[in-house]
Amino acid sequence: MGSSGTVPGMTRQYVAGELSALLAHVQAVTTTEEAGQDAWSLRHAAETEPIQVLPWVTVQALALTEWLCRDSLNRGDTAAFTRQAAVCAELHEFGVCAGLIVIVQREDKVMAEGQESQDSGARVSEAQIAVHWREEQTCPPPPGVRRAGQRGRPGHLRPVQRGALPRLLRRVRRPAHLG
Amino acid sequence: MSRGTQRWISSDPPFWKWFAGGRLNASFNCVDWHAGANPGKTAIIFVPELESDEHVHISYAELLRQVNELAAVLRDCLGLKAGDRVTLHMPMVPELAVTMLACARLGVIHSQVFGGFSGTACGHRIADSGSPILITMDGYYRAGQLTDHKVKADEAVAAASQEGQEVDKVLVWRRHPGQYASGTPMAEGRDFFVDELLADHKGRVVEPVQMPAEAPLFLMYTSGTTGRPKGCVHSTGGYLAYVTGTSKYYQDIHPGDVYWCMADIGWITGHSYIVYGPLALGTTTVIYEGVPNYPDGGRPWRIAEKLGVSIFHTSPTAIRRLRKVGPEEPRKYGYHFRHMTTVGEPIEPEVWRWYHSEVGKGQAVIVDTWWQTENGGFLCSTLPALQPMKPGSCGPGVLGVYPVIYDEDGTEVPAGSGILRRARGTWSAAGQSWLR
Repeated sequence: MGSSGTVPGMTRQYVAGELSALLAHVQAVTTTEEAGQDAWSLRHAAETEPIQVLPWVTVQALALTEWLCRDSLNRGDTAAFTRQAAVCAELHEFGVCAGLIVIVQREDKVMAEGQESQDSGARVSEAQIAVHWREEQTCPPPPGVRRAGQRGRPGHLRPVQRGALPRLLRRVRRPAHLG
Repeated sequence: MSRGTQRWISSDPPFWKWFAGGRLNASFNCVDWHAGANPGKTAIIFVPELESDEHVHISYAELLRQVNELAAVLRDCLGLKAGDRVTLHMPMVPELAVTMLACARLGVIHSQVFGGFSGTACGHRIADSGSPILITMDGYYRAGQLTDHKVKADEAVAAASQEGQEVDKVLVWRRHPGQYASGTPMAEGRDFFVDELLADHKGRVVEPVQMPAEAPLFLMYTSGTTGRPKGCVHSTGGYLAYVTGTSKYYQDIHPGDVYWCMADIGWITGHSYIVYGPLALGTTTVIYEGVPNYPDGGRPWRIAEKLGVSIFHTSPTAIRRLRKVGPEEPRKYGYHFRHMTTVGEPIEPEVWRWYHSEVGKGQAVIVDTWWQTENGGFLCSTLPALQPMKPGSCGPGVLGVYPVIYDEDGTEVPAGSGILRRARGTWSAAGQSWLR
């Protein structure tokens, strides 16, 4: 089936999956029934809500693990604290690398904040895109790869290039409803 | 693929039908074809997470045997037939690929749920897809620990039941055959160990069912915008042709390559570019069980060196993590990538340059791809060796796809400005979505 229509951002399902797996670790180190329920709710949100919710889920999960760590310290439970701190660090690192949180420094405090949107296309302005497109240099394929490509039969791709497409498919280049 | 099927009809553009009237079997194209021509060639290399465990090489002949035997179990023990639906909730093990291919052999529609998801999430997807069968595994390794996975099957069955879908049978692969890794009991009459069922089906051969090209091959769930995941249906002929074509032209996969996509088969990337695309081309595909940075940031590069990986495929999130934990690790190892892919999200130019210079050692071409679960395969990408790469920008529309760029007012603008809003074209892998 061919298609055309509005194209949203990439779905990034694997980010939701990894976050869910990490929230299972959070669930495993909770020490109260209420905290366990909170962790379950966050995991459920990661697995079912739109991707745009993941930054909020990450920030809430970090707050929960921080609370768990403090609670364990107050109770003198160093074994629980060690496990919870490790999970918190893992969650934090993933959040940063997946672009779910950004680290901000305010009044001598370092905090994690959720990214406003996971759709970079929406986050980046047109002006930024234009600047990037103009100023970012292109990088040619490495010589070895280019030589290998040129060794291919001339016209290898010709049958599937745009001009060679069957008339039936060429029609969809400008369907009426897209103007 | 059957001869004489290179035609399509269009009764309602742009809703094309691909290879209408043609019949094929995805399992045959991915396994039998190569097992006949090159039986000893390695189809799958399984890398267990524990570094002390040996890699497992599965030849195309061996893969054919395993797929046939499991297909016999599914048909004879469960009564599955073409058009039935089965949910899989499995980790990154070769048994997952075998299960998918066995389903495809019978024309059974598989719906793999990411193994890291909870049992409840799996249950919702079972209910949505109407699957009466769940196939799972007792445990798997993650970050060095053998995780109890079977416990999630019980949760999944309960969650599905709450939504009105009863699960009649649960098949449980054992991570270590003969040893049960879960603390949860097997439910009498419902749960069965796959290795015990297989023992009665040794050497069985199941003829691949010739499926209409438009018949569903699998379901894949993706987050929607409504707070409930939506199921995407991918058809057999169009999907297989598209992922095979993009694997050939954009992943530059040749039969002699060792190809490693470090994604999870639970996502569309894994379906398209770990299982169906590479196997349809008869190459060797790597399945890695665990997390990339276990036990340290050098693990992926040690695997690449040991296996002679020539094509590497991963996500920007994984690249950022590997860069963070070991920015200079890649140079310690003697692997050589010819081609690398980044997929799933935009990559910053700075991270792209590290990927290019450190991971690729400046010698590999990078394709930065853009696509979605609903599409089934790449929509935007550079052609390796033929088109220049721009750090931080995915490539142009792939062959047959014409991206359209609009500014914020909805006016069409040239490349280099605006935001991608629409794609025109007739890619054959586009799925049909179920929105509930």
